[in-house]
Amino acid sequence: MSTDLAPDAGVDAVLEQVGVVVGAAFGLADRIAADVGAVFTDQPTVRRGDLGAVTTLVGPALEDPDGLIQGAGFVAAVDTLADSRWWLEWFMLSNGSAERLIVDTDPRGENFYDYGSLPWYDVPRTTGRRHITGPYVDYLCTDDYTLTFTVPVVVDDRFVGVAGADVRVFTFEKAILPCLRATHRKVAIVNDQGRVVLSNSAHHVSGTLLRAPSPSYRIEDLPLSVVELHHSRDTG
Amino acid sequence: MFRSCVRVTEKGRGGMALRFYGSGAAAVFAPLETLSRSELVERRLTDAIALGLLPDSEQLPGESDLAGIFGVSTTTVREALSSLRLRGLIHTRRGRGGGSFVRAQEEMSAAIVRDRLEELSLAQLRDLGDHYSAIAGTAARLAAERATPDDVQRLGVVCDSLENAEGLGARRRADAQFHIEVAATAQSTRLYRAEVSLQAEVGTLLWLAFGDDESHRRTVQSCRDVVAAIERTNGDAARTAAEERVADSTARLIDLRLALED
Repeated sequence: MSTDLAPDAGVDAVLEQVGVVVGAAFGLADRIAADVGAVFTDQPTVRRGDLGAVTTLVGPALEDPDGLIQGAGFVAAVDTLADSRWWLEWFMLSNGSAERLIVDTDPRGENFYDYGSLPWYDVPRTTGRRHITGPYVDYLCTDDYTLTFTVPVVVDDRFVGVAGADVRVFTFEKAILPCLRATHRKVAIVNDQGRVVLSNSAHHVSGTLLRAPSPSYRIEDLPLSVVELHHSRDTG
Repeated sequence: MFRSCVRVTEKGRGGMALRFYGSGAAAVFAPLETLSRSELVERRLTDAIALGLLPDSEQLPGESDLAGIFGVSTTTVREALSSLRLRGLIHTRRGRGGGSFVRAQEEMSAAIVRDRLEELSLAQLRDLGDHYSAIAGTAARLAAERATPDDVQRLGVVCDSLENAEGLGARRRADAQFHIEVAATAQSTRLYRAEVSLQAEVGTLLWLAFGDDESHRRTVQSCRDVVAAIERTNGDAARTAAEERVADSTARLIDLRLALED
């Protein structure tokens, strides 16, 4: 993806629509990060029970019938909360209402899993920047094919966790595909691993890898590009 | 272990005993659909105890919580618990801090395998193997086509934890995790769900039958073979490695089933 794809009105419309979806997810993540950050600024020690602001923000976003968000919340950095080494203050949409995600945060637990190495946590932590994980099969939260948008929560130069939001690939596709088709070009939205998030070509469907370099156009500072597809099949 | 047992365990251990690899490792808790409901609840709990998913002295969620988890009535749960109690697999304490607690038994695995195997005909076992082979083989092939270097690295890490897992329960969970990761790497929600559901159906049987060290060594090697093929982006080799493992397990299960006739 070394050469540039020349944007035209159609591609501009794609960029704008991607901006709407990404903006909704990162917008919520940013608001969660701000509220959680304020708690850490105000209090010398923070406990699980001090994170009530998260559900206040997330509940309405998940339950909005026109909303795009499937799950959202705050995931604490290890050893940051006073009463739990690991913690996910995370809510997901279940039968139309926001439900708390419950996972094993006891390292001795039968199903404990250290989220420290998962990309939605680790990339914002190590880069200090926002990140889009996926598309991936999210067997932790949505149990569905998902994009996860996370931002680092940093208080006085200290990383205290990530705030984030999930968007189902289904939702992303419904929002973006019409304008992708309207470009009248064969194009794909591809992540930085070369994985197709969405395309208007049957040869390059969501989840496949684009191995050959193609003319591309990077979407702002996001790990996403709009890629012009070749006619030959070069995907996996 | 259970999504809805937070309250029970939060008090007890200051942490939460819930599932992360939930859907996979604890597929034994998927909602029940057919047959006598109390028998199925009993079976799922028996399997979980036998596999160490519910370790000795672990407190079970309350009756109404279990009813919610399994999607059955509390009467059904009560029947199942009563039967488990008669079999000595749980004991119940009354009053404050009371409830039902697991009483694991060493020798129970062999007896359970025998019972399960006797229920299945050779043709049914073969068919189960065919189905699992289709799912595992295709998941491995697609994973080889769709894995990024990060995915390969993660699969390697999961292989390591499988190799280092000790005890039946830990090995079974690590194995389940590996196959679920392969299906996730294939980027397929449907294959992932099929894998989870097959784990629930045959995973118990396979692991109760082949939890010994030699079988574990073979399992680890076959998982390494799958990862190596995925790393080479060789879909055919990945499929072959995955199918061979299922064929091997199925043949051994059928041998075991035949031995029961003697």
